[in-house]
This record gives sequence, structure tokens and C-alpha cells, in this order.
Amino acid sequence: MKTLKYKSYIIGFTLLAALLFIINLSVTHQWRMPGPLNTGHEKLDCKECHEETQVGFRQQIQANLHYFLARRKTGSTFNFITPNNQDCMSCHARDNDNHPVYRFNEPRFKEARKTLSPQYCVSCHSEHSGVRVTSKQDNCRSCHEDLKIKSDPIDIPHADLITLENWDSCLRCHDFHGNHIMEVATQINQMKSPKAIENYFTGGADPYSQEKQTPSKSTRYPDKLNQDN
Amino acid sequence: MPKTNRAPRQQTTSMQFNSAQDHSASRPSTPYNNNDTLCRCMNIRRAEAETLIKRSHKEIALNELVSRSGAGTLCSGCHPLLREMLGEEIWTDVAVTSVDSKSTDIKSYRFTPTQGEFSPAKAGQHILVQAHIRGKWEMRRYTLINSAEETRYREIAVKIKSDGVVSNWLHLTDHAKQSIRISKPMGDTTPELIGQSPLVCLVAGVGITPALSFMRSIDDNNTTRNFTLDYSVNNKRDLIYKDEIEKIANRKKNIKVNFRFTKDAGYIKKQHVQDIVSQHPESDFFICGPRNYARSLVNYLDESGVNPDRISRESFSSTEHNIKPSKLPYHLGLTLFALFFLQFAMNVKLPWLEQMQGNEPFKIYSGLFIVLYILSQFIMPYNNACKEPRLSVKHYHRHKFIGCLAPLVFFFHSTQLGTAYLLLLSTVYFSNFLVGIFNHERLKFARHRVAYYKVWLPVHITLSVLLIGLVGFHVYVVASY
Repeated sequence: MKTLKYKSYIIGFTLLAALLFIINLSVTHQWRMPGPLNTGHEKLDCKECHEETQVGFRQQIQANLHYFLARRKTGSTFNFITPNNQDCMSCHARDNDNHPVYRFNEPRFKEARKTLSPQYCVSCHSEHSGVRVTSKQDNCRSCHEDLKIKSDPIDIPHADLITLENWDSCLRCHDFHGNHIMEVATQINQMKSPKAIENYFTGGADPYSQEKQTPSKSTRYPDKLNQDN
Repeated sequence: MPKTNRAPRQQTTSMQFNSAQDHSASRPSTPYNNNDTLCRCMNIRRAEAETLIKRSHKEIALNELVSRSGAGTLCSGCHPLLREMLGEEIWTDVAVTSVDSKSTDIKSYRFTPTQGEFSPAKAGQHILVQAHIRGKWEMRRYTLINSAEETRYREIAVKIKSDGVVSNWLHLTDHAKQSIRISKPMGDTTPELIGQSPLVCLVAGVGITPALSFMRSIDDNNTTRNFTLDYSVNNKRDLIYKDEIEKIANRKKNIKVNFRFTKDAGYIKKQHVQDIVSQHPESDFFICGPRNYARSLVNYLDESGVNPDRISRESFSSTEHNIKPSKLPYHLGLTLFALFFLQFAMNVKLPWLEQMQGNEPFKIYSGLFIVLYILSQFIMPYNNACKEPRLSVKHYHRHKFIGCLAPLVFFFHSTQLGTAYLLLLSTVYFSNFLVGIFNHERLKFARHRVAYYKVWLPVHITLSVLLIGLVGFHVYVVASY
């Protein structure tokens, strides 16, 4: 039995080495992800978002260790810098965004920051989820509960929809970032179906319009792309 | 049956034991060393089981001792030793009164009790022979060949083997002043002698021993049951007890014997078995011989349409040796596993847990907990490898209990199985948990347990190593990105 044990450990370590080798091959890079890339990001390279840190390895470990021992207020990045809004903006930056992330840093959004953290792109677009939007459809209520419109253009007034707590209806007429070139419906029966919105959230067809005011860039490194070509 | 005979015999053996100590000069003062291996299969020392018995507040039963220490969970060969540790008298001091050379490598031995008489055994049962060899008590099993009615002596036939410690010792030593003890007869896998249906014994080589016991018992008892012996040996020189077998066969009309010399006539074939089956319809079959012989004979009988209930094989096991492991880890583990997959499949979410699991520090600390949890399961194999008897005794039990909590521990870290390498990680985690739950203890027969363990152990260890590696990879990925 003793030799059987030793043999088993040898088999185990050999298999493990083979497995880790396979996982770390460039063709199997998708195996290394915690989940599939979000809609539109499928062809992105890891390095588009994950940049290596310039700090020494020893310092990174030291900083994180201190953080765990509560001797430092923040942890340090390790090996790669955690992607942030700027990384997203390098492709998705656009003028006239209806809800730009930086706006949510204003003091009046204190409550919303607690519940939704809308100041970060990833709060609604959590990467490696394989979808387009990861937040709920009724998030509008966090800020728009006391909405008042002087001359309401639609047949059932916004005030009524709010009283009915029909928060799912917002996105059936409006797109959140306002990047679509489209006519906003003025009649309730012209609304998109809830299923169409849900489908859009999970990566399906765009129900609003095919035309965008500012299309996203296909890479944050266009110069590099040209060089490669 | 050993159980029915236990009460009166226990009294006599204990008397013999005391008196034997006085006149046996070579008997060591302490029969066992603490460092002696108690259970070879699980590599457990005597001291470990003793510690467990000492630490137990109340009287500990055999089953509990087995279940907690892990000793005797495989081949159950050490159960008599465990019973002895628990205070049962199982040994009878004997002297070798007759040695008879049966062939170049087989000798028969008769053991007579130093005092009193033996009680009758069942034909085909076996005994444990324990001898003090080079400062250690060594123990092996041998089939009894004496008639079931014989109470003056117990007789065994022993074949010399290149690696047989006790067999070689018996062959090569002068036993006059040596300490030899034998156990009560045990084993109940042999067929009953009293029966209406004919009994066919298919034996090969030294496998003749239980069949010889049957023949002698039939002869002594004047049993009318039809008995057929098919005895395969390599050549005439290897044929043991030839004269006696022929004599009994001539004397008894209900006994038929066929010798098969495989050197000239070849091994027994499927056709031969089919002929035997057609000649003896509605018979009980008993097989004893080398492993390959027994295995192919079972297949031939099966292919000839013999009901498997009618086939029995000589094996050194009995229902007495079946282990009844603690069922708690098994049931608790399966319940937790079912609950985890139920919540996963039904997508049941606990809001407070979801919120906590979205929290970065919670992810880290619950992950750290899983890492420690998995590492703690390596304490048992580590202690085993360390050869530190007092440390590892309780870990077999703990390993099982801690292991069955795996789905719960996982649930607090993640309620999902994940995708890509995480799915692989979860699969390895839960596979290893299931492999652990369905361990050798789930099997009833010692023979099956031993065979199963030889496959089970490499799988469990391999998955554990893979798990640790993948967890390491996960930690690296999480820390990096």
C-alpha cells in the first residue's frame, strides 16, 4: 500500500503539471478566465484590460501582507493592475453621455453610491459574465423616484408609472447612456417588450436602434493594431 | 459455527493460557512490541490502537475501534488482534505433535492443545496460526484439513513459499521449544455439509485442503450427501493425500474423485466444466485454488448456467469480519451534496449570502478558509508518512468527518460552480469529495474492499493533488487580475 501511495502522488503531480501546462498555453487562454468575455469583447486580448504592474514583486507582496495585517489602508495590485474606468473609457469614451460614470461622484449621489456604486463601469458591466449588462432593470428608482415633468409628452404620464412602481418600463423607451440615434416613443403601446430589453442585457440584438452617436473603438491601442498589420 | 462454540471454549482457553505461560520457556514476557504493525493494509501500529482504547472513556467495541482507527477496514485480517486488544481470549497454546511431508514443498502439521481439547470445527474453516519468529509475533491463516468432528488436534497443510514468513518458519524450524498459538476456527463462506443437493468441489494444487476436510468429515459422519471432487495438480508428484483420498472414495459410494494432471492433460477447460455441470445437475459448487484457477472456474460455471448462489469460493473471510462503519459522514456528506446541487439547479439565492459573497474581503477570507480546510485533510497522510504513531491515530476518523463537510464549506465561498478553469476546479473538488464518501468501507466483503481500495486510493490521492494545484492556480489568478 505504501508504494501505491507514492505512485499515486507521482501520478497526481504529473497530471497536475500536464494540466497546468495545458491551461497556460496561449490557445487555451479562455480556460484561464473566470468566465466568458462580455458581449462585444469576445476578440479582445487579455492585455487590452490587464496591464502588468511596474512595481517590484517583493514590494507587491509586502504591501498586500501589510494590508492583511491592517498595517496599510489599501491593498496593492499584484502582478496586474486592476482594470478601472479609464481602461473602459479608452474605447467607450463619448460626448453627451446621459449617465457618465464621473457624474456619480457628486455628493448628491451619496445614497446611490452605497446601493449601486454607479461611479464604476463594472458595477453594471461586470466583466467575464458573458453578457452585456449585469445590473437589474429597475435601477432607475435609486435616483428618479421624485421625477417631475412639466409637460409630459406620453399618453400615460411618467408620474403614474412611478406611482405604479413600474420601474422596468424606463428602459423600454430610453437607453441608459443615450448613445443610440432613435426616436423616443410617446405612446405606451410603442414601448419595447420587456423580453427585448432582457435579451439586450444578456447580449442579444439591440432593440433601440442600429445607429450610434459614438461607436466604440475596437481596441484601445489603435497604433499598435496598425503596426501589427 | 464459531459463535455457538464460543462460550464453553473461552473458559478452557483462558485456563490453558495461564498454565501454558509457566512451562513455555521461550515465551517472551511481553508478547507484542508497541511498534509492531497491527494493520498492514492501513499501516497502523499497535501503539495507535492502544492509545485510542486508553483515551476512550467508556468501553470501546470492535466496530468502533475499527471505524475510528481505520485498522482492519480493508482485509479485516487483523480483527482477531484487535479483539485480543479489547480483552478477548482468542488464542490457544499448542504444540506440534506430528509433521508429515506430503510432497517436496508441502508438509502437514498437527497441533495439540497444551491442555484440554478443542471443540469441533466446521469443515472447510480456517484458523490463525501465530508463532514467535525472530522476536515478533507473526500470524497467518491456514485452512483446517481435519475432520469436523476431530477434537484432539487441528491439522493444516502448509506449502513452502519464497516470501512466506510463517510457512517457511514451520518448514524449517524445530518446533519443540517454540511458542505457537492458534485461534478458534473461523470462516463461514464454506458450504454446509448437511444438504440434499450434491456437492462438487473443484480444487487445484494446495487448494485441496478444504475439500479434504469435507471428505474426512463425510467419512467420519457417514453423511449420505453426494460428493464429487475434481482435483487438478501439475503432475503425480504434486498430488497430496492421494492414498487417503482414494481409500475414502473406495469406501464411500457417495464420493467420486477425479484427478487431473495438468502437465499432460492441460488445464481444466470450459468443456470439462460443462460436462461436470450436466452430470451433476442441481449441485452446489465449491472452488478452491490459485486465483486465476478460481476466477476462470467461476466464469465457466457462470457460463454453464449455474446459479451464482450455488457457487462458493474459499476465502479467508466471514460475515464475522464484516465492518459496520459509522454511517454519519456518509449520510451527512450526501445530504449536504444534494442540498448544494438543489440550490444550484433551482437557483435558490440567500440575499445575505449573495451580498457577502460579492464583498471582496469575504471572498478572500472564505477562500483562505477553503485552502486551510483542504490542507487540513493532508494532516492524515502527512502523519502516516511521518511514522509518528501517537499523532495519526485519531486522524482517520477526523479525515472522514471533515471531508464530508466539503459541500458546506464550498457553499460559503461560492454557490456557483463557475466556468472555464473554475468549473474544472469545482469538478475536481466535488469528485474528490464523492470518491472520499464512497470509500472502501462501503463494501461488504473484505475481498472486494481490498480490490476496490487499490483503485480507490490512487484516484483519491490523484484528485487531491490536482485539487491543491488548481486551488493554487486560482489563488494566483485572483491575486493577479
